[in-house]
Amino acid sequence: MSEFIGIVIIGIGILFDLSGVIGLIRLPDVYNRLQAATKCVTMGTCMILFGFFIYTGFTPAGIKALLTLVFILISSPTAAHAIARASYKYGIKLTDKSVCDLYSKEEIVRCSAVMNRNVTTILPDATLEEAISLIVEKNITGLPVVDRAGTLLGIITEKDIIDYKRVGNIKVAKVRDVMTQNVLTFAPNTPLEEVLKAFSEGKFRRVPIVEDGKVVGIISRKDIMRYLKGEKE
Amino acid sequence: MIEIFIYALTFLTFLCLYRVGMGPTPADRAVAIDILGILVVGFCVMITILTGKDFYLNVALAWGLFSFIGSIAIAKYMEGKGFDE
Repeated sequence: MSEFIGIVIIGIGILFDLSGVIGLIRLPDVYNRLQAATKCVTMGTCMILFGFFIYTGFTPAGIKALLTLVFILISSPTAAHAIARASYKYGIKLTDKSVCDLYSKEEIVRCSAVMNRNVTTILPDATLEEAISLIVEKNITGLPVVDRAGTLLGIITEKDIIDYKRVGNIKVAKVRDVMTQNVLTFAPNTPLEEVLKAFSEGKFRRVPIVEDGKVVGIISRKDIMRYLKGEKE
Repeated sequence: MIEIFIYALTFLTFLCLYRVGMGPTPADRAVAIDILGILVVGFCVMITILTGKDFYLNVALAWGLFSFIGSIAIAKYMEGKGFDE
């Protein structure tokens, strides 16, 4: 009885093999062929091995067939994946009838590629006059406020200073009193797309790039312009 | 019954060899060789049943192993990388 069941399973396995190989012959491009053939033939061969195990029972040969089955089950999809990726990198085109090609999407640009790493920062207990002269000297529009360890506390911008000028005395004020707290920040590996969204929807002019609480860079609108210029060339 | 299966598998391996021969791209040949390796494992199992000698299973295991290594090597080669990357 078990021999009969084994033979039946082997027969079904060979039918799977057949359909896989027909796919290998008939389908239009290498990726189609790969997916048809790998899945069906792996299934088919695994059924042949399992059928053989049923056929012989728990003999050394049967156990060996089971081991081979497990090995094929792991190795065959791995090899197929490697070949698919390699053929893509080798430059083999998809067939004309393909609907989409997600793998070819342009690489995501991260903030770290665009950000300015030379951040001019200011300490919270500096005077407002120091901040103003820094802004004028460096020709920038805002300064991240960091403590001595480099942790971001806030940001002081031209607008903050102008707002303060109407209500207070610039000569005695400290940066700490004027700065904006609760700054919108991004991590270095954030897609640039999100920064563009923030610039476009909010009234930000610059966002600090923060890693583990420390300021590692800054992206201003000017940095985006520089990036776009580089992309164009 | 087993003989019919063996003829069927032989036929399938020849279809694979057709794809190896016709290509048209190197990747098609690589895929066909990979599939051929897996088919041969099944073929060895059939021969084991036919002859009753189970050392053909060792052949199957070794063939599967080398087919896998070969496919990975071809893939690496096509990507233009060294083997230790």
